Amino acid sequence: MNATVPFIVTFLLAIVNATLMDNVVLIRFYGICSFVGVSNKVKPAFSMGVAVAFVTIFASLVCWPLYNFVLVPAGIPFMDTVVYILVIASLVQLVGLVIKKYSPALYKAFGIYLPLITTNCAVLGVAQGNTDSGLSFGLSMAQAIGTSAGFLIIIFLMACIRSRLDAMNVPKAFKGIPIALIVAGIMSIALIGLGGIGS
Amino acid sequence: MNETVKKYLKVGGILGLIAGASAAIICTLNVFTEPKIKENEFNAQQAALAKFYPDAKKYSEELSLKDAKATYVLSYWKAFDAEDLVIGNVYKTSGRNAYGAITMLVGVSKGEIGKIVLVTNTETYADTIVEEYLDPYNKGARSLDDTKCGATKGAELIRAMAKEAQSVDERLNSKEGQ
Amino acid sequence: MSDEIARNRHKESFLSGIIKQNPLFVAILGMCPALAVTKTFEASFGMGLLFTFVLVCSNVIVSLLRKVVPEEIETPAHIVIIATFVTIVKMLTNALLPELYSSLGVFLSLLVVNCIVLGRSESFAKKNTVFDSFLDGVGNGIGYTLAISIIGIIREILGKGSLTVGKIFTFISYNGSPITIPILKNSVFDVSMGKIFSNPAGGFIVMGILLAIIAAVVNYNKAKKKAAAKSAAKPAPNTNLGGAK
Repeated sequence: MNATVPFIVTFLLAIVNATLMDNVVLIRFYGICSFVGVSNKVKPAFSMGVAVAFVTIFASLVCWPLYNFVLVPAGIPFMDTVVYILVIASLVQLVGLVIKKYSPALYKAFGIYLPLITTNCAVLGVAQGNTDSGLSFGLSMAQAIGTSAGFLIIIFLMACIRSRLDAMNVPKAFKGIPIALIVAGIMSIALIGLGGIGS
Repeated sequence: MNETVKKYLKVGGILGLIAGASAAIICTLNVFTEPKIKENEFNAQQAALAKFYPDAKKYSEELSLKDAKATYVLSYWKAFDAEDLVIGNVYKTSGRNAYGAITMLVGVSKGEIGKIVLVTNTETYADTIVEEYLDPYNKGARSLDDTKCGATKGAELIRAMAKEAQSVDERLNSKEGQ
Repeated sequence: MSDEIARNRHKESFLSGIIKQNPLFVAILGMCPALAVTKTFEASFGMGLLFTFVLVCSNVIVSLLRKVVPEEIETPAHIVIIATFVTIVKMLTNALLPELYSSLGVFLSLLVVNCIVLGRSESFAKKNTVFDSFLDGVGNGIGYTLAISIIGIIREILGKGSLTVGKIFTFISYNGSPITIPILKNSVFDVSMGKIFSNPAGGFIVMGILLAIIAAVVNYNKAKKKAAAKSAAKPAPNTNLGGAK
């Protein structure tokens, strides 16, 4: 939009913003279920993060043209949610099939998380948010990349923290999910503090 | 015909039927809700316009803008008082930065920037902008140039959009004056 | 006899979702909207209502179609059914309650991937009768609405110091303006200046503390029951009276 700033700068700023200041999990609350459910061990958390990142980027890559070149010309933009969720569900199936064929070891590592990705809000949330707010294709890809990176970083950090929390003497009532949520709240405060960056 | 093909056809047919029924229901409903949604949007716009000039008796239709230099300003309304004289204009502007998109209305009267009302703001720190920058500005407690408020980029975008509305207003008036 | 069994089953499918198997506080599902839209009481209550509507409708339809839909396409079929109702809800809210629509934003669309809605259709509605599924939907919906409203009330009081009614449900008003009840405002307990509780961080912290309180209550009850069972071990054990757990 702004003619004085080259597109690449806006693109990179948008990625940084979507990763940190606008973090999916801690600020925008997408994908809390898988965040809480899978973040108790480091390795599965990392695999989950990579799988979600992959599907998010591909889903945005498919959904944006689908909305702007098919749904809008056809006069049915209100069908977006139905179409997106179908795209995401079939993408997840497809990713599963491809991984199974070419890398059985990888499939073993995150095959069980694949069905969980369909119901991860981050994937649908990014695709829907991109077209709802009328982003350009470049910026919606920046949004998808930044969101994926943010999810991966936060779920990995959280898993590291939680694996240490297990060894701590936490009050009995706070064990497990409650203390994880409070830790997430404290991490979220730290990210809110980043809001001034780039200003 | 082979058994598996038959099965796939049946399964696909059922899924297609469900999807078709869902599309039909949604499209039918859309016929009823769409006018209502449009009406709501129109009412909200009128309510937003009414905030700008309390003594305005009526507003013009939304006028499209032909200004090659404008990057943010989309359209404008004229506000008339009881004697049908123009009190001022309200400009609809829309801009975007790396954090999101802002659509807002700016009142410009006699070359001065007046009230600013946000229509939508998809930025993360939308609340901060309203609380720390726009509300104090509208109350006269903060200057438009004082953008350091915790959501500086958004505030700078708002300032740029308002300034552009002001210069568009100047050009419009000089054109009408000729 | 069979009548009574059926009645008990109806009661069970209705009641279990409200407290014993509360989807948010006990099963810990559907966290995203519970954290994202609970800044104010009204938005959370509205979310709960819409959630209930989607859940009941999708449960009923999934249960109706349970014999028609082949096993291979169960999940996609359920997702399409849920997405249809979410779109319907989206349109209706946009037309009738535009304030609610704009305050929920993208989380209205995200009801499609809400684990509870999909979970109930996968684990309950596809195996049970239409009436039971309906009751299950209503029960879970009430449970979720209660839970999410509690979070909303706590966060609004802590974050703003007051409780406002009428901003979203515009038909509730006092002299044409929303009703605001100052609860903590201007008292020593007013923590709204810190802004923590209206920020995303506040959602996590309130939720964490609430879950800890629930865990503490559950632990306390368990310990009490254990002690009671120990002291009752000598006389004849009367397990039938003490509730199912």
